[in-house]
Amino acid sequence: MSQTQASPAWASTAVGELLCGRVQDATVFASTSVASYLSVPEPRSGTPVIALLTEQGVRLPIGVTVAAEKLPEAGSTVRIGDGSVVARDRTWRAVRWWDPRPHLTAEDLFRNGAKLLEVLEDEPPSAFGFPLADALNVANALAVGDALPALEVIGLGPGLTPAADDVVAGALAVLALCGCLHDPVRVAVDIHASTHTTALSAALLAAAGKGQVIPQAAAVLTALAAAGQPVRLRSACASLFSVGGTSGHDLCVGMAAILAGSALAGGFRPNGEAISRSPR
Amino acid sequence: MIQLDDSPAMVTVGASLFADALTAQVTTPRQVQWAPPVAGSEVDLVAIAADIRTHAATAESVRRLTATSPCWVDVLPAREALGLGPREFLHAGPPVDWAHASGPVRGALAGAMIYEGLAQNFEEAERIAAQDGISLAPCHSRAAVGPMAGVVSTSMPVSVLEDEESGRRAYCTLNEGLGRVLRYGAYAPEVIDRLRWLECVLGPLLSQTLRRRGPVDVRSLIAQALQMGDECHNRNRAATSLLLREITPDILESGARGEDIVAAFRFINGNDHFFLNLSMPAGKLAADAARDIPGSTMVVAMARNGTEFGIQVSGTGDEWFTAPAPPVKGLYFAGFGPEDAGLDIGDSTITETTGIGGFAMAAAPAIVLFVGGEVADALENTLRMYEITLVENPFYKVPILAFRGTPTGIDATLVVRSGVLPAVNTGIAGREPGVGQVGAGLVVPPMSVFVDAVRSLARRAEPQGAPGALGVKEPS
Amino acid sequence: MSTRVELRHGIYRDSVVLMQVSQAVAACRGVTAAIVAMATPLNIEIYERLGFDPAAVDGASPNDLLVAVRADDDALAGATAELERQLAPSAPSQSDGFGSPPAPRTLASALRRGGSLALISVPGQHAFVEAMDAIQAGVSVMLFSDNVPVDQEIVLKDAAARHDVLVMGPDCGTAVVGGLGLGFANALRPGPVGIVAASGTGAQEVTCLLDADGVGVTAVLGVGGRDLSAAVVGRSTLAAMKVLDEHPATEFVVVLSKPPDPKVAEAVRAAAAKLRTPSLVAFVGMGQGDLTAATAQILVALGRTPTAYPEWSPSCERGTRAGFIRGLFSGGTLCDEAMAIAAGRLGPIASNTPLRPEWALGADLKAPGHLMIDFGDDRLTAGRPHPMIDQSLRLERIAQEGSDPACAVLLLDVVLGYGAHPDPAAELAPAIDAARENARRGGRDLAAAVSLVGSRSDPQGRDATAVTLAAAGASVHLSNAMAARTAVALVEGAADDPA
Repeated sequence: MSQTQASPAWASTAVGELLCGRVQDATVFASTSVASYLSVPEPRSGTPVIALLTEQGVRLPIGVTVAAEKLPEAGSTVRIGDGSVVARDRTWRAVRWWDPRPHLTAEDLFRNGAKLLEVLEDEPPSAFGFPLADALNVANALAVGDALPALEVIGLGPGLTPAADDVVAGALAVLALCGCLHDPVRVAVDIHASTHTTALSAALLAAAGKGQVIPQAAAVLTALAAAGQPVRLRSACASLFSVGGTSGHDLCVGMAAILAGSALAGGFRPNGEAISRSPR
Repeated sequence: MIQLDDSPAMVTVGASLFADALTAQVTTPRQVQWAPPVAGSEVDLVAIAADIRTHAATAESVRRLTATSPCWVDVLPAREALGLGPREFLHAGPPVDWAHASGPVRGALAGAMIYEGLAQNFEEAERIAAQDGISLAPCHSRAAVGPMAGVVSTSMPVSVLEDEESGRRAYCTLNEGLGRVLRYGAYAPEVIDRLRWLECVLGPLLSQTLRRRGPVDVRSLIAQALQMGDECHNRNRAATSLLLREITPDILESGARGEDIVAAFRFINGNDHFFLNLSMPAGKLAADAARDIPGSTMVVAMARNGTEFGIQVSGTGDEWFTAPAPPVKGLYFAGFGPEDAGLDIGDSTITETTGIGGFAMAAAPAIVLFVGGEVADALENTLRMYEITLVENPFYKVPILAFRGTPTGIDATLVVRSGVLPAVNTGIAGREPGVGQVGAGLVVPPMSVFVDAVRSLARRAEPQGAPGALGVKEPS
Repeated sequence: MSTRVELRHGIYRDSVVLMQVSQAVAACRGVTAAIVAMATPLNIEIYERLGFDPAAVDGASPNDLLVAVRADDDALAGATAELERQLAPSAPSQSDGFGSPPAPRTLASALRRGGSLALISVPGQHAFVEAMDAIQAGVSVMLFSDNVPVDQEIVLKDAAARHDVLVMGPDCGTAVVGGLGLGFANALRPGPVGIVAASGTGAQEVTCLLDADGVGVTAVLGVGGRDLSAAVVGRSTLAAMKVLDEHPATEFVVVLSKPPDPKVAEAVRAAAAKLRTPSLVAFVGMGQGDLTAATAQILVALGRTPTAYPEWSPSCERGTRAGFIRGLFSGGTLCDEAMAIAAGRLGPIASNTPLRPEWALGADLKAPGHLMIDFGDDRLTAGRPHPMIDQSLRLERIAQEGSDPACAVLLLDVVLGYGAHPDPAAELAPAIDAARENARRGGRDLAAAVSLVGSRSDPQGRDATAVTLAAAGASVHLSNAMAARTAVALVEGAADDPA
């Protein structure tokens, strides 16, 4: 361990095992002004990508937020493990954790689920990276266990997280939170993503498959679950929409498509249990 | 209600150790750079904050101020527009009598008395005034404002500004131009002659023009001028130019004599500050809309008469809160120095009261050439004013601040709490009557007037719960 | 026609920027096709459909940035230059013209720039005005400030109710919201318990005991020391209970306070009974049960079995001894609890915050028999930092007790967590050691018992702190009640005259 004074880090519980496990060297494969993305050689049961973030960066479910003005650059090596993240001139120690999986049940989500689509319908088409109609198709298919439409669009879009991927992630996350995500679907998406999209996006899709989302998306879902407060929902959506270029919108579309789509009406979970859609 | 699921976006005020404890958890709060309010004011501030009317009343003041749409509709003699009698004279600033009036105000009153035929010369005017032969009142008390000495008498033509929706009106004389003019306390024959010309030629010409053309949207001109480097208090060049464009065709078709039309154009063209006498009543109209709302802490007038600096606040009605007028710090014209300078004077701070002038300095960085300082100061002044104002002006936007609205609507309690005083830039009048302008600069209003206003607001506050219960005492 | 195709690593821009770059380059004179995107298979398909050569991207990975431009021969250089210009990192735009905006001087001004929770710690006579700023902005408040008059507290809480926000305080030292510790707070793990506390150190003790049991919290909502008085009638307590009840992840609600006004107690119990969430109302103090017992009740309600809490015993000899307990506390609730336990067995305990008026200490804070001092009391913290931060008064007193033959046991609390001293053991251990050495030279065996309030993840290191203190001769207990009982046991039974 380096002798330098350790600074605090705030990490997602999803990277807890990696961060606290055996020390290994990760490589920064990409960096922006608010994030450095690390490629982890031995993910074990965790994620192969960790995002080192400044306080301005969106708190990805695979993220570790640190107070830093400059993050390690692409190509540099960062040592992770034993509770710390060690870069060339900084050491960060995980002192605080967040849980990227919101505590919501299917009943919570579907209670006011249709309202989310209403909010999205007020947004201009240019705000989205992926057309709404296509998103609905992909989501409905995922809901009934058909991954093919999703596989056909993963990797489509210019950014680090292609727009189509954001839609699929939103849909997967809601399905996972409801307990309606068929395992074969999740696995198919993960395998396909590993070769058909960026490493970052693949990692985020995998996280979504476990119901892990960014805090802004969690806030939207929580606002939906809360007893009818449209102001709170709109304010939460506004925060989500300001994420990324179109990412926030696309993520929201994926979520809304599941919640408002017809595929799950009177549908069933993988274990055969019926999902209640009626308000309490 | 408090959200429990996500890490809160923190704001801290007080000891920095709390902010440090948050930063140690990788959540950097926004910290308030807090300092105690002016000593002795805390009890008053508590009473006002506890008054259930304060917030809504103040918000209503702001709404009425920014909803006002001032239009220049006419030019009329003061006797007609204001009902000013032959021995009645208005002046800038809070109430003052002849005995205490400053040099420029005395000079201007004497000049006006000569103009009205009440006196032959300064000495006679002085004698009459000292024996209460004339009556004095602030312009502000008659829905009017006046720059520098701001003297208005019965025959003088005044611009009439009207709010489109409510029909309310505000008034101001026509700007005489630069150099030796009545508003700086000059009373020489040339001054009187010019006043006569305004009364007999320019006033009626403008009146005919406006009646022909229809109302001129003054708010719109101010908004455009702010994006052309004016702040409409000390820089009015662009605004004056825009105004000329608006009225030129109708002046030409007014049917007046050709030589009068030419003289009118030469006159307006030669006076960069012609528009000031429209931006001021536009502010007056807006501020007056916000008056007299019980519980409101918004400032509705800031004005000086060369002897005292005074303010009025919406929730305290006609009460004036005054203190000795401060000196102006600035740059002097060639041949003049601080020893020649009079004290701060004029109703033109109505511009700062309504979100322009010194508050819009960021829109007019060139002003530092006249008032001193660096360009960065101009920006900083505007940015600092957001600390003490209630709203970002919906119409007046500052380009370099990414078109952020100017800081508008001064809250007296925020001044006392933050220690930030309104930024005013102003002309400097010569101390002796008749000298004229000697320079321009920045003036800092006295804090005591805001403290007094807050005290008065507190006395009128209606506490919740037991009457007289609120106070700083031992916890039970 | 010339073409340029590149695969780049390491630099990234978001999708909107990349689309803009594509468009900007495509709009250049002489350019017939351009694409700037991550080299995913689908994006490569688009690249191929634009007529670019598939072979040029052979072996491309989706993590590469694909840059492809096709233009007239004499236009390619210009297009490439434009591309580089667009991709170059840009300075962040500032809407303030020059430099950063001036810092806000009031909470009202700060909140106009955003914020969802305000933490106020200005002197008491100024706190009301700042708090009203937050309430009117629809933002909940943690009000650390004390010396706020009760009438102002009531006005604040009524205004808070109208604006649907929560006022935590005045005189609220501890809160945990969204996993963030506010004021003096421990690093706690997320879990099912939500706590409403009129006592900060009480909440710290309970949450740290729960932490030792592996049970986490959703939130700790402080309500201020006076909320449950007859005047304030539990306004914030009742509001906070409602917030926790409606919070889906909170499965158990705890209300923690010293015994309040009886009518208020009744109202709180009645409200608790009406909650949908299971709850426990724990009014701890004289004759009412202690914080450790309350924690046990919580565990039982959660279906878990309470176990004994970790203790660290010193390496020295134990046994009862003649003399008195001298308790030196930084947390008022912990002091109260220790006094209640001790008084029950030993009789009068002198204090600056006595359980009975007749047990009050004089200004010199000295007494011949048992005594316990709350160094966090207002009168002792006027004009100086809180003892959880600045231990100098306690350290001084430890040294004095070391020379006092009447002192048989030192009883101390050490509260860890954010906001507290970064390494209290580093100062206390030598002081305890020195005092014991001093006593030893005088022929006495001075014992020390420490109540350690800390979680497993606290920055000071809970276990390391315990070990250091134990090495100095103190017996260290996570349970304050246990520490107090230990101290009592050390003197009880020995021949002693009550003071």
